[in-house]
Amino acid sequence: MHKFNLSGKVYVLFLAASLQMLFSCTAVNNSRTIGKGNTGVELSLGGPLMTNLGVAMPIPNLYLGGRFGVREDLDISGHLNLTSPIIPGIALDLITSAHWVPFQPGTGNQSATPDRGWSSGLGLDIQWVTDFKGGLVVLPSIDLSGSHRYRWLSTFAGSAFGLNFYRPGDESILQISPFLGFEFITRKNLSFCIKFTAYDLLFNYDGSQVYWVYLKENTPARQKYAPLGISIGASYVFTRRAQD
Amino acid sequence: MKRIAAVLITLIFIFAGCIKLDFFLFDGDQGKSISDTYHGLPLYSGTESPEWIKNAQVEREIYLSVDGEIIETGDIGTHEEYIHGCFLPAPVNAPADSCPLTGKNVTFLYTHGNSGDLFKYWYRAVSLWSLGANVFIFTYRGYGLSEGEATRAGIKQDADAAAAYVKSRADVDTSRIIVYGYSMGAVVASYLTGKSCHRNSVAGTVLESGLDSPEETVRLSTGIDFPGSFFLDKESFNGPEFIKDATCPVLHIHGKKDVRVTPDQALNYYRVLKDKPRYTHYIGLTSAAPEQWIALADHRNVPFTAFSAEFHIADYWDDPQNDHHCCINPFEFEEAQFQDFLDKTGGTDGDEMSRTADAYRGLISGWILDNFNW
Repeated sequence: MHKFNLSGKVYVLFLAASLQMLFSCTAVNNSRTIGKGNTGVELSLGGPLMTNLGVAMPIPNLYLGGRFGVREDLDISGHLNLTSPIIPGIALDLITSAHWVPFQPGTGNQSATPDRGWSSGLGLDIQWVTDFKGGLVVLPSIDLSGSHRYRWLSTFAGSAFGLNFYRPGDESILQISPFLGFEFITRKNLSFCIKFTAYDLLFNYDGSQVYWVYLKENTPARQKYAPLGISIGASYVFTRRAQD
Repeated sequence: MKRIAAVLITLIFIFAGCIKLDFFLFDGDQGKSISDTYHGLPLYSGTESPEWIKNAQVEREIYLSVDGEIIETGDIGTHEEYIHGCFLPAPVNAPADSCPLTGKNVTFLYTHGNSGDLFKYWYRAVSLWSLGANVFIFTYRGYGLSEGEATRAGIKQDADAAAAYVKSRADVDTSRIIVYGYSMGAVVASYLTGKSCHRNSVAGTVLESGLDSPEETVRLSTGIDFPGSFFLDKESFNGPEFIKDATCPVLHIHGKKDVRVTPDQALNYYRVLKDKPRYTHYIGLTSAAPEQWIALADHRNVPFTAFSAEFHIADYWDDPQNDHHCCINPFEFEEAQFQDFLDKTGGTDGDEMSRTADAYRGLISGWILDNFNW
């Protein structure tokens, strides 16, 4: 078999990139829907920041997703991790979601929606990860988010509450990951997002070999909580109504 | 065309799932020849070696088959797998006051850490040798001059070969072999200890800054306990699991400032060994004097904790101005020589350096003299 002679830093990068898929959080504003019968495509890149290579850089997880408007206030979506096939260990990383947004200034064609107002939504994500040999890991989570849109800028914030049944030892299985994002909405059904996330507020990452950038760190007390992450995304909505 | 693309994508997914991270776990540097890798590293870095060091006859080129049989230097090209080792025979006529194991016929079998090659750990082996003991240090296949691919099973086989070789030497007392494992080598040392202690073929074990297992490293980094074979080889490579049934004396040292292999991993060894009567630990859990020293130590400087200030030996290690990129045995430096070194590494004075080096040497030799009736 071919001998890979990679440095420890590269090893850590690959290790981190592989594992942090399980903290995946796509850069999408889930506090508004795309409208009944419409479909959308979404692309998202990024993840937790690590400094193993000397500078702070996000794990380059790339997700391609699709979204469908079941009702005016309900979307379903799926996001496939395109990085997973080239990273050792993980063969498939898929996020399936449903998001219900009962309060929002409007739905459907972005250019037709009111240009200001508040919204709030509730989502259910189920993440499916497998290596086909070790088995399937299923990670459910719910997310709550709210946003305020003013013309072309939608500011959204909320938190994901994941259930990590694979948490080691006696640690809490609850993963709380608050986020803050900004969506820039154009008039051509195209929008761009940037999202900042504090991953996993409750778990102490003191033993990590990956040099994450932490929200809270106390070295003498050996406490490191909440790796910070950044991701960017783009989405496009195909509006059935416009075609009609 | 679409059908071909679909088949290709499916195959990529399937084969990606077959790849394991162990490819990236083992981080050895392969060497071309003894002259390239040895760097001419001496046993002594001072201006005038004492006679007992000058007269040392180090066997620098020992090549072993995977069964532990000697391979003649001229024949190594005919083997696809073999390991390289160096034997440092105990110094002759060494002063007993500074070399407390002189005449005890103690042999250290040194299992090194995960990166580099044998000579990265040269002065660590020399430190043990200078106590007055034999030392055999070898490097795993895929590291240094050892040929083959580093795998969990292969490294365990290499350790077996090295142990078999040491036991076969006429100048080694097979009842006085101490396995000394550093970092990843602690897993290897634990493997040898667990495998052989019931036959009493390893007298004792020292674990310095020991890795628990690759799985534990992943777990601590992610907070997720994956199904066993998700990312890593299924072959067992877990130090606490290997050593949990050991009955021989175990000395366990782990620096509290270790951020590479954090003290969490030391606790896993502690949990399986704490009830054993011949387990001695300095891992920051008591107020014993050595604990204060250990409290300053990082991963790479347990033997050289005087450097555990803002700068320490690891900084010098990575300094491109350091031709050897290797560890340094500070107690072997002449005062004037290492004063310049100290100036670069934090200004610790030479006396403190010597005291710290003595503390390490005293800890190892004292543990041996206290625990064994040799």
